[in-house]
Amino acid sequence: MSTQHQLRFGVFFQGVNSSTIWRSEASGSQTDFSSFRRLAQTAERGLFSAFFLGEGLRLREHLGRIHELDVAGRPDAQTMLAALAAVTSNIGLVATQNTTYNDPADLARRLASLDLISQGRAAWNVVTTHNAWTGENFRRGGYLEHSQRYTHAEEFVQTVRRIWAGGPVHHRGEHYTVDYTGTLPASTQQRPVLFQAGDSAEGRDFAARQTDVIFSAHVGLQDALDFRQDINQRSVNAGRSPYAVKIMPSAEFIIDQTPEAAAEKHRWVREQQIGPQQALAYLEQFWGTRLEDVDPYGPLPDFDPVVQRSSVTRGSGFQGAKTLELAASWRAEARAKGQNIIQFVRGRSHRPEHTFTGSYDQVAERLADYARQRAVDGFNISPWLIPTGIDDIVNHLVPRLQERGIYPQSYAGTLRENLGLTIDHDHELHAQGLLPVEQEAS
Amino acid sequence: MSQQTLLLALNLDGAGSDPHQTADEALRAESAGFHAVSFTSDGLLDPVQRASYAAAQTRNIGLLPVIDALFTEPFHTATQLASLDIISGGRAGWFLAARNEEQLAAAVGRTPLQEDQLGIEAADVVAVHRRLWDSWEADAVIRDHATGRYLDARKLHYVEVAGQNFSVKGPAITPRPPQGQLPIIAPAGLFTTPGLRHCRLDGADVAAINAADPQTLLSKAEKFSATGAVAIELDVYLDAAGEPAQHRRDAQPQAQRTERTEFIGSAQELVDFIRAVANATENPADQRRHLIHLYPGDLQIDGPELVNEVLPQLKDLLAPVQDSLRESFALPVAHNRFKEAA
Ligand SMILES: Cc1cc2nc3c(=O)[nH]c(=O)nc-3n(C[C@H](O)[C@H](O)[C@H](O)COP(=O)(O)O)c2cc1C
Repeated sequence: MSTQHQLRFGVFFQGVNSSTIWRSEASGSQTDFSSFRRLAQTAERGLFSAFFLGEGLRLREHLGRIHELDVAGRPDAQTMLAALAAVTSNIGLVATQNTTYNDPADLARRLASLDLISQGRAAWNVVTTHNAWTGENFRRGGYLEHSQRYTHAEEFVQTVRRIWAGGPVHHRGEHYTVDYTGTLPASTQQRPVLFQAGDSAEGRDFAARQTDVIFSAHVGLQDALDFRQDINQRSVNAGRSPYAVKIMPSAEFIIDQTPEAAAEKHRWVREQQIGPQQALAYLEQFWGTRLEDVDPYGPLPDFDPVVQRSSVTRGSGFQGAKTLELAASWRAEARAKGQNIIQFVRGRSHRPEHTFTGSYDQVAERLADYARQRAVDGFNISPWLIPTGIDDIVNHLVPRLQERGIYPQSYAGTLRENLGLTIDHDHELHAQGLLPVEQEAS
Repeated sequence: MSQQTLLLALNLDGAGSDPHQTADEALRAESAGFHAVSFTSDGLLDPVQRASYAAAQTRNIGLLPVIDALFTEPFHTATQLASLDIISGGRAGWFLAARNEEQLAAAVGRTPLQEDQLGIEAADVVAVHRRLWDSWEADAVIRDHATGRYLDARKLHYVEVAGQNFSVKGPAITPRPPQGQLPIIAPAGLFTTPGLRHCRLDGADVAAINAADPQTLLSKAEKFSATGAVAIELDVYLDAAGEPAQHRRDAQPQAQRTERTEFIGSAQELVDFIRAVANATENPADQRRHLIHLYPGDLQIDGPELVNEVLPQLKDLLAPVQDSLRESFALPVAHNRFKEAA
């Protein structure tokens, strides 16, 4: 038996994003069940721990109009995962679900149901999107201040955890009043696994208190090590042991037989991801105006943005940035590198630290470093092609990781077991808000 | 000569919370020739999830989850139902419930509505679903290489529903379901003025009827079927293996009884009753199809009786099972309101 640190893979069927290629012949449907089944079954063949679905509760907009350039139209996460439970038997099924525009009792019931229908394979990726723009689709409308997003989320998650723990729940809180008694028994993994994907200081503390796994954005080795140390410290502050919270950064893999073939594939992927319209749309977010008369094969616009702060593509992850300084520095950078708009934007979204590019052996070696240093517990892979985007990972990379003793040889059981997680009963009570955390003097 | 006007649906709650058994029973119902299976929300696994699980293992049977319209989020339920329709390739329908109960309201921090408001609330909720399902035109995904556009924004529409108690902006986050509009079955009591409309683009397609006993049910079915399609709700206990159904029914705890009409008797008596319903609701002037929705008292006992003794005797009354539930109901093609306006 291997005593080495094990890496685990998840696959993130994004469904709404700018990095999934749709212009290629090889790109299948983003919506049909057959695409989801194909990806989930391939992942299961590769012993992946988890199949992820994201969530966005309003169709994205760009400069006040529906955003047209990216894939969109994602089926409901739990409805899709229930169907996938019928055509898979081991892979974990992770639903991203928002704490602002759901009701705790309803979400607790549905997640408990998914956990039973999948026989102990369900997880909830807790997200806190709270903007009023999304709220326009819901009964309560936008009601939550940014500063309150995590106290609100914590009240929500505590309530859900108490419902899962069984017995009547009578909750009177700042944000919620809930009287509910769950009707479903616990699954074989006791309760759904909890993931979290926020990155602010409050988000990290919340994760350390409430979740089992962090779906992080810290991929580069040093960045991942720093993040690990930070989360370990926060876990200790929350009364847990270091490494109690697993970390799986989101990552992209562009791999092939040889380094040269991988580099060529990398070039093709970026070309497919960012065409002329995508490059202009990227700049438009910062310039705050349509740039349809600007030549994407020419230099960056010589006029200044019309807005002070970026008017982001709503529903994407960008934060407002100061645009005048940004435009000036980008212009200078592009000029210095001799780049036109497309080349510049492709370069900016290159995110080398987010992407593992290389031959199968090279990438396996790089991952071995992560395992040796215990930087992460695995990677949540965003395929750039649906539904075949992880075939080469399953066929070529997984066996090389297994040879190195850093990847599972079989499934262990429930999702919790497959992720190497255990239930700590004291911590469960802390997380339900029923037992205060005793701070150790140090 | 009798016409093929009836659809048969079988409730699968008796399979409990075991997903394998649910899928097995759905397959059995499909090969027996039922038009649909249904899943209620009474303490079991989520009805939409059970329907979705069953969808992945069946080919042409309709899937009818029961979802409450009062204490849920219309945007979420519209997305879930559209997704079920996508997963099943056009086999989903919505059995709408409006349970105005203290307990359901308290779970989401709300209080029950005034009874005279139920029809209006249901109508607002249905309007959200109908408009969200139209908010993507069928060809909104264009994948146009020349212009770099995956979507055509002109084929996506804000729904702007302003109901009495809430509003929804849209568009949907899921493409138009394959059926365009899913068949909606709703309790007859919600069809009020102002309230839910019957057989309208913005209303429900089928009125579900309850009564104290089978004879009253029959006369109600006759009356309601004059204005639109109806669903007959029946708890069935059939004589089986030498045991009279009445014994089983009497042995059942009071708590398991429902508000639905009970049918207690032999398979032949049920066949005769369903034939009487077919006669009472027959309307040669239109293509209307009615649903007989059967809730077996015991799925393990009444299920096989229905499959072996009842269904084969009704073949001449049953509408053909079509690829989509909408087609099985012979509902007209669902034109997109936004497309017509353009
Ligand atoms: C890798 C990653 C994936 C995410 N996926 C989603 C998603 O699918 N849906 C969503 O609403 N938010 C998603 N988020 C957003 C986070 O849940 C969170 O709301 C956001 O990062 C802001 O929280 P913060 O202020 O703590 O960083 C994601 C974040 C990260 C880092």
